[in-house]
Amino acid sequence: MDLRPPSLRVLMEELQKLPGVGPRSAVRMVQYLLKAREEALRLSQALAQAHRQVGFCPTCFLLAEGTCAVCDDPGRDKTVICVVEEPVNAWAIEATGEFKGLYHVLLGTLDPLRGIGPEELTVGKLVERVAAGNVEEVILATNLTVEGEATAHFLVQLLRPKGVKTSRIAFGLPAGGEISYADTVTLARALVARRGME
Amino acid sequence: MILVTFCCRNFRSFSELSWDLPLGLVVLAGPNGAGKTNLLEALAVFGNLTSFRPGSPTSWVLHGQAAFTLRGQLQQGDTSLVLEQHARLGRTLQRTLFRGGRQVRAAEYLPLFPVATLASHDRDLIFGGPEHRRRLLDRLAFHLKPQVLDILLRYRRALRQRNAALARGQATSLDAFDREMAHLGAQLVDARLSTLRLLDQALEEELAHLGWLGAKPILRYHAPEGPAAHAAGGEQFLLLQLRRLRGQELARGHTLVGPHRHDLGITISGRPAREVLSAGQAKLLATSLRLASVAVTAGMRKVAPLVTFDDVDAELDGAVLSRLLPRLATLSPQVVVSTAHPEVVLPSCPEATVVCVQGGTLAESERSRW
Repeated sequence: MDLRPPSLRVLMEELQKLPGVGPRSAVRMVQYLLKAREEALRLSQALAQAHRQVGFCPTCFLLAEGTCAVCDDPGRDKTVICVVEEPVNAWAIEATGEFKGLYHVLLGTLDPLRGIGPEELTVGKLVERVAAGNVEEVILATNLTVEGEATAHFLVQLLRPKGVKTSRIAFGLPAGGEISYADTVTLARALVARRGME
Repeated sequence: MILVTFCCRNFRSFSELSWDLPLGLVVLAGPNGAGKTNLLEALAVFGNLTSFRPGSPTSWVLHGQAAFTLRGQLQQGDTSLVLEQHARLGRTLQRTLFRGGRQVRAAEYLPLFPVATLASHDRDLIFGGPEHRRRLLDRLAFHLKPQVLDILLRYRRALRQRNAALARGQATSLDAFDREMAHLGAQLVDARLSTLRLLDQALEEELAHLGWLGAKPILRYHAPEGPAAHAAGGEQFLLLQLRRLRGQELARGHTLVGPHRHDLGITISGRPAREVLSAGQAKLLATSLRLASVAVTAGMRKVAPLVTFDDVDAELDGAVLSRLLPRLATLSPQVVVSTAHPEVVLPSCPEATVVCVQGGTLAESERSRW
């Protein structure tokens, strides 16, 4: 006999749909949330609020409440667009403090195995932004997966006729990492992408 | 590195096994079904993460159990290293790998303890399809240059994506995957060609060691789209071929050119080896190819892999065995062979240690018993 009340059963089932959450983790979460009732309430309110208010920026497709802070910022360099796969990739780049241009989130990559072609991505909007003028460089910061590389190739072919410069971010050793601990693939790529030093 | 101790739990017929491996040649003796092949397979899976036997990896788990563990202590000079592999049965086999207690990815684990596996299936190298010969080249290429694994996996992924785009008629995505396939394909062909040059040199010596009679087999890389596929500028050539065949490929729904369709051609006096060799000669040539790849790996890495040979006396006559077994012992510091007929094998290897396999247990045995 299943002793769980129906509402808890539903809650556990919903929690298990989250990435990385299995049946045991769901039970632990439910146990905790039932004890910490204040926190559970705040969590449910935060979830409802985020669901109500957060959407994609209509220009760059970062997650935002309306237009995003980057597109609204008059101090950003509007001649450079950094193209990423998902909003979290833009968050990571923004955290470096090095990039002062604009972003464009594709919301995925070309992935024929899952039926995803250019039409399922925000490629059309990117072309519109470039065609509108002002953009001098597009930095392709898709991941170094086969799909990420293929998407970068696709965008280069698409954007080159528009007269815009395209560049690919470099890949190599992590900062602070020791060479002896790097895997051979990363190390080989770092050697291929080595730069001159005066 | 030398494998000092090998432990396995719930692998095939072994519920619990701990084995202190001797150096030199070990002969696993026992009747059919005693577990000799299972033990050699456990060693192969431990080192290579894959088996020399056909079948699903889920069959490696002892019947009625949900997981297996393989663990080995390796030694090289003063350096000691423990490698461990845990596998849990799900829809597929979920594996976690450890190097010195630290979880590692397969790309880091695989180069640490390669196992060269020889078995009766090796005649597929001569009589079987091109995939067997491509696998020989690709595995050797990986042991010489570990980044080949990444190139190969990425090439396969690009191929799957491209085939999906062809099947769905997504012409707009094809150009992007063409470039990725051509780029990775050219790197893969380069790696295979440099591997083949080394293999070809080593093969002549191994054939001489095993007493090969007759014309020397010629190894040649074969691309159906023509030799330009493996000449300088191969990336551009492959890209052009992919574009040229686009119409046919869209009609058929899969990719018609690329290194996934290449072959290692083996000819003797201008004729395909599979047409002129007997079963015994094919086994001898296949064994020589395997030994050549062991010699190349040992030459490049300075340490030879552990060599296993399942059913060593199958299809080989006494004269060949008397040359093969001493050769194996000179190629690698650790060689494990299995046989159901130790009385045939032991006269060719007077220094070998005999281990009797029976009912999932091992026991060193007196040679005189056989």
